[in-house]
Amino acid sequence: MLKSLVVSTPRAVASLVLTLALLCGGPALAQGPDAKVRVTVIHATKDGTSVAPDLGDLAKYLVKSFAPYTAFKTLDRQQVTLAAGASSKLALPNGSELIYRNDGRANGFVALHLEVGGLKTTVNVKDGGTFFQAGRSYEGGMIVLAFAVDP
Amino acid sequence: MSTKQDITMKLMAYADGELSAADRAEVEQLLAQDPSLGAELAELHSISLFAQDGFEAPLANVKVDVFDGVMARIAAEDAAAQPSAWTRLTKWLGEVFRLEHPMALAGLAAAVIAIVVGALMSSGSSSSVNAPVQDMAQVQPGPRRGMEAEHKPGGRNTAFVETWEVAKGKVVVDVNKDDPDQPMVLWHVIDGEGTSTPKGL
Repeated sequence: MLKSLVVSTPRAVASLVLTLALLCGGPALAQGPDAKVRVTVIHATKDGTSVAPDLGDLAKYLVKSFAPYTAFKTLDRQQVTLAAGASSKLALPNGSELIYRNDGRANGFVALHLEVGGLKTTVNVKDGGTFFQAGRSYEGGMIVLAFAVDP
Repeated sequence: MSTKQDITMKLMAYADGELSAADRAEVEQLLAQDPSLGAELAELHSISLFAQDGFEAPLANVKVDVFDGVMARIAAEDAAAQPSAWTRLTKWLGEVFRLEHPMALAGLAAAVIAIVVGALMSSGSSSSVNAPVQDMAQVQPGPRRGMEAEHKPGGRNTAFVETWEVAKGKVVVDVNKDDPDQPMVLWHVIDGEGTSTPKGL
């Protein structure tokens, strides 16, 4: 018995080190550096065909993703740098409030938690990527939120 | 009365000088009576001398490199008998699970538990948030962007919905499968508000 303990001790130590690495490494991966988030509030309607020039690169995405909406106008913008776990708020024109939080960065993706108009969601977006949240009505059209995470 | 075999045995002992004086006298008497025994004795002498030459050959006639060859063969057989890494691993695992290495078994068990717990923790938030809510209205998750990302890792706007929850309305995820660079759209639509998801989603 004593011989078995002595012989197996290095392997047991290695196994325990692996265990500790797994236990400690998991939460560490969920943490990450700050996330620079740009939120653009867009009003999409079917009144004419116009895309605000200040929408820049978003314009081509908006036209393709939101047909038959044909007109897009910028209502508001916000750019914040969020540490892991930090959140920000933005009042929307339709009276609701957007709350978004940096839930960490892992494997090249940033986890953004959103709360807006009764929707609670967590979206993982690639570093430097963009995604839209849409569907709530506003003045004959709807509000589109564009979230861009800078690398 | 002595048989032929007894006589031959005595002749052999006589040739080797191993007989007592009385036996030697007896053999010599037989030799005098039977000339054929003399020929047999001569043959036994020649055999004895041949054997003696073989055992007492000069050391210089021995091939000394035989030893080296034998040692080389032993080393080669030892190398061939060395178990592979897989054999050693399976042998060690067998010893562990036969409780010959209880500490190692405990370590392995802890590692497995850690992996399982880690997997549960990483997916815990998803399952808890996605669990059906009593007053939840239509929830239509749609395709997951993450699944598409596995096939199109190059999409610069790759995104996927990890969790969602709505009090009312429905959620649709438009992943724009035809264009991996097109940003994902997360729709939240409530009936009666006048908005609807495009593309018939």
